[in-house]
Amino acid sequence: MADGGRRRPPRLGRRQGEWLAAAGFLAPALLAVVVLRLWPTLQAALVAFGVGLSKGPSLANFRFLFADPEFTGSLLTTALYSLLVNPIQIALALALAVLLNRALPGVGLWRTLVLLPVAVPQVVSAVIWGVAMRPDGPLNALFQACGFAQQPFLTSPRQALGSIIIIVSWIGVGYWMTFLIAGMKDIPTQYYEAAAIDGANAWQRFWKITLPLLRRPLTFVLVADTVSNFLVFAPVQVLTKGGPQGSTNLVMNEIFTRAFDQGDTAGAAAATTILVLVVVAVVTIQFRLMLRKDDFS
Amino acid sequence: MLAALYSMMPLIWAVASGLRPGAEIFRYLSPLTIWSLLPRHPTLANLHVLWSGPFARAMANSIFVAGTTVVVGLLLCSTAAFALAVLRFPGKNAVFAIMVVSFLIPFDSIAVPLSSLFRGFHLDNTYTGLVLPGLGNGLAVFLLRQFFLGIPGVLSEAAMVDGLGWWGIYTRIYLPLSRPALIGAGLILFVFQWQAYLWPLLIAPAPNVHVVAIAIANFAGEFQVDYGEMFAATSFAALVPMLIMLFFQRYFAASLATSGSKE
Amino acid sequence: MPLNRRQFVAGIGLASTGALVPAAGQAAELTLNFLFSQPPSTWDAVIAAFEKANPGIRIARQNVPFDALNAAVQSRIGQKDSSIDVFGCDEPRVPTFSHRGYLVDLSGMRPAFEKSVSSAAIEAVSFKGKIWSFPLWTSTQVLFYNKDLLAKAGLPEPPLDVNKRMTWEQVLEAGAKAQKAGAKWGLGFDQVDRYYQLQALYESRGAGPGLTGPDLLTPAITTPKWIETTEWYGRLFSSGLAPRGIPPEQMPPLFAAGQVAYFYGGPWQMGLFFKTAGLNFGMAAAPYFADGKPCTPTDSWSMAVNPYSNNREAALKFASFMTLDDVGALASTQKMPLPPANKTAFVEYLKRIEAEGGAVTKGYGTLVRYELANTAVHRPRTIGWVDFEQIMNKSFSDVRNGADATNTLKAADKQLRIVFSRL
Repeated sequence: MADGGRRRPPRLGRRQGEWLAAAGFLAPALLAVVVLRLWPTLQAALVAFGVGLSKGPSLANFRFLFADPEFTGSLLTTALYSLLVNPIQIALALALAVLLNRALPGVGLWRTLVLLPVAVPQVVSAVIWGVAMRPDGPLNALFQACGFAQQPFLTSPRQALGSIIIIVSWIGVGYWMTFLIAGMKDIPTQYYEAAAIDGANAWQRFWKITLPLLRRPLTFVLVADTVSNFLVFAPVQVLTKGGPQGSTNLVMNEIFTRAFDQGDTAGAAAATTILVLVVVAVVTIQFRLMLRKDDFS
Repeated sequence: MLAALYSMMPLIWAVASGLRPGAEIFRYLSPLTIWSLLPRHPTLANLHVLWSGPFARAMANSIFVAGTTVVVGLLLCSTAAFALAVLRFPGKNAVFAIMVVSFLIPFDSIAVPLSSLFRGFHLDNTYTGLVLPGLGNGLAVFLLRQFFLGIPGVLSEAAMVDGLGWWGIYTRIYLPLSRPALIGAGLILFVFQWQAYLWPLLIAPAPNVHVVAIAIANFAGEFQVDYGEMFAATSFAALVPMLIMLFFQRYFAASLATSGSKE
Repeated sequence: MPLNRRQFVAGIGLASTGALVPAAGQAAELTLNFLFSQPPSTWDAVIAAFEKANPGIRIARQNVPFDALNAAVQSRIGQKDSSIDVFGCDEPRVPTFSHRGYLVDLSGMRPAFEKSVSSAAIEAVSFKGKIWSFPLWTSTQVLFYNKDLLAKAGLPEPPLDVNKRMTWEQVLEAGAKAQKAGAKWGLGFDQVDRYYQLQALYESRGAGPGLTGPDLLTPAITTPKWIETTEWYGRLFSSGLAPRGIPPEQMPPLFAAGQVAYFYGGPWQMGLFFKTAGLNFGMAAAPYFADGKPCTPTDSWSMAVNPYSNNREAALKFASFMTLDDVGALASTQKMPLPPANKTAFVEYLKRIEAEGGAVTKGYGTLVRYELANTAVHRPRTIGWVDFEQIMNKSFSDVRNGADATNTLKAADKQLRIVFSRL
């Protein structure tokens, strides 16, 4: 390579410099990510497949998991949960972002207040909501005061997952809203000014300008929100332990139970492997749907 | 308004409960009266216990750990994002894929093997052990890269003509133009540490390196939970990020469009 | 600007390098790491006494929340972590932990155990004829009642006397009466949904612990008596006598708030109840079923030594000082509301509680001695305990929330067989 540089020194030199610069810019983060994320995951996968055991690698752990109704049930619960929670959170975050992107008085304070729940450790916000949703708790007292029927919330297999969704959305919506507001700040105001001259109403402006130009931040929020919802488990662990009747047994709770209560390292590793594969598949599909070719540069 | 109410009510209740004597907290849950929301016998005893106990130390630890993570993590993630967005080099797509996959991995389920690796390097019960896993955040890299892609390439070409190197382009052009994205990435890094529970539990169980989430969970004793102290602590745990975020809202509002760099 | 940032980053780097030095320990002396879930101040007295008696050994505390202790032990000792020396071990976990290799065989110290603690306490930490950890505390349950709520309903106060126990049938009837007279709830369970407290119900009826076979690895929870008792438990909540949807930690505050007439709970809740202004309460012996025998839950925490510890000798010294040594046991139990396993400390404990409680605790000493000697039932000692407990607690919770008893027990039976097949 070095002697080939003689013919067109400036260009090749810059190219080589670019390669080296890239290595320098990337190395620290890449090292951190590989050592602290990918390597342990690879090891978990090896454990899951039984590599290194005297019996040799096998699918035994996976066969065991798929024969266990607790595990397959948790996959179904997670699928249902994801289909509900992600659209709800993103719609709410988007609505709030539109609302709080205006020049309202004290808008910074409002934004901060809506964002605040993410600053409370989840272990604690789960406790707060658990008290609020007690059958004899303040939410039911409020319902009673308004003349509504009392609700069982977390104690009913039909309402528990919905209750978890409310809690998780309380934590997440303000967080995702923040990223959407950042995206909206990037939309040049001229577009709106032009639309106003054309007589477009607020609804049209949202559909024709805001939404299309928000594609990149929206993709980011969609992917990141989906991933984070796949990995939720603190509220479940604190409030329902997966019950009543398995109705809130999300797959992360299942992994946690296997790893820390049952001490089934291999089973937990196999479940983790499955989860990572599912998330990779889902996120790949989301990227394909949301992004155009040029977004990958 | 409704949304702000929805996010505030539980916290207001927690703050009020932090000012109640422990036995009063569950007394006025239902039926709904003014005492459901306000402490009937307000007391500062819980706050006093907090500041004389291990909680103050945990608060300082958390601020240090989260602060270090944000500063060092931003440097790591933004340089990587810069390379992925601006520079041309072989294997770029593969590296980008690695970054994306890294944030799809449930950190909690690899925490156990990772913590035993850390103990092998005597990183248990150290700040380094707490900070390290938060630094390389694929999500922050992803966010920053997306943002950097939107900055026109002509800017760096012009800078190069002016004799600026890559480091110069990164520090003089990309960083100053990316404040909102940097704040967003900082938020991601901050929340990762502020919310961390399982990792500190495994790697830093010594009281002198406890973080806030652990200290709050520690109010849940075996025989009873001191909810008064727990909620008072929670109020503080939420107050610090609130002040930080209020401060940054200012920069957040300064949009990229007004900085004149956008086509 | 870039220069400033670089300086700042360098400063941070320096600070964290400084923190690289492990928080615990100087080179000159030996440091033992002690992992537990109680408030750290619980151990102030015993650590001071031990360090004074053993210059050169220092105890470094590592505490995790109560809920997280078993997870911490599982994940750390399961990875052969040598950085814990002594840790708190829930006594029913002794078989599982010894089977997994998390405990040290202490059988060589048997004479010292026999001298200091009761045979029931030794049994609680034994598995397959060997001793595995040092018993620290034990436990029992009593029936608390709210004097004001009982008076309002014209109900008599049950005496603190093991010979005049109420039956569960009587408690339910009286609870319903109290509820009619204004109590929000007739009856409450302290450790609601936990096998620890509910086992005594099944044992009182002669339904057995729910596990049979030589290794106690065969579920026996679908027998008529098990189903019947589970249905009885479910009815407590479906009838509205006892509250649904309240986690165990929030049950004692409910009684303290004056909303519960009868409260089946641990005597250690006295601390909270005495502290609560305006609460007028009394204590009676644990109830039993009219067609069965009196049974009470028992056992508590023990101190275990990590087999991977590099300081085994010193760790053994500390663990036995806390439990078997009279001075140490007194120091490690002086603040705790649980009865100590150590015989000398136990006598001191009863004196203290009776002195502090006045009329409410009169006769408490006799009651505790009687229950521990006659009615206490250990949890099933099997390597499947950890899985069994977790699955049963979930099932009890489902039944409390209204699930059908028979179906729930059948599903749990199936789940237990799957999990046991993997042991």
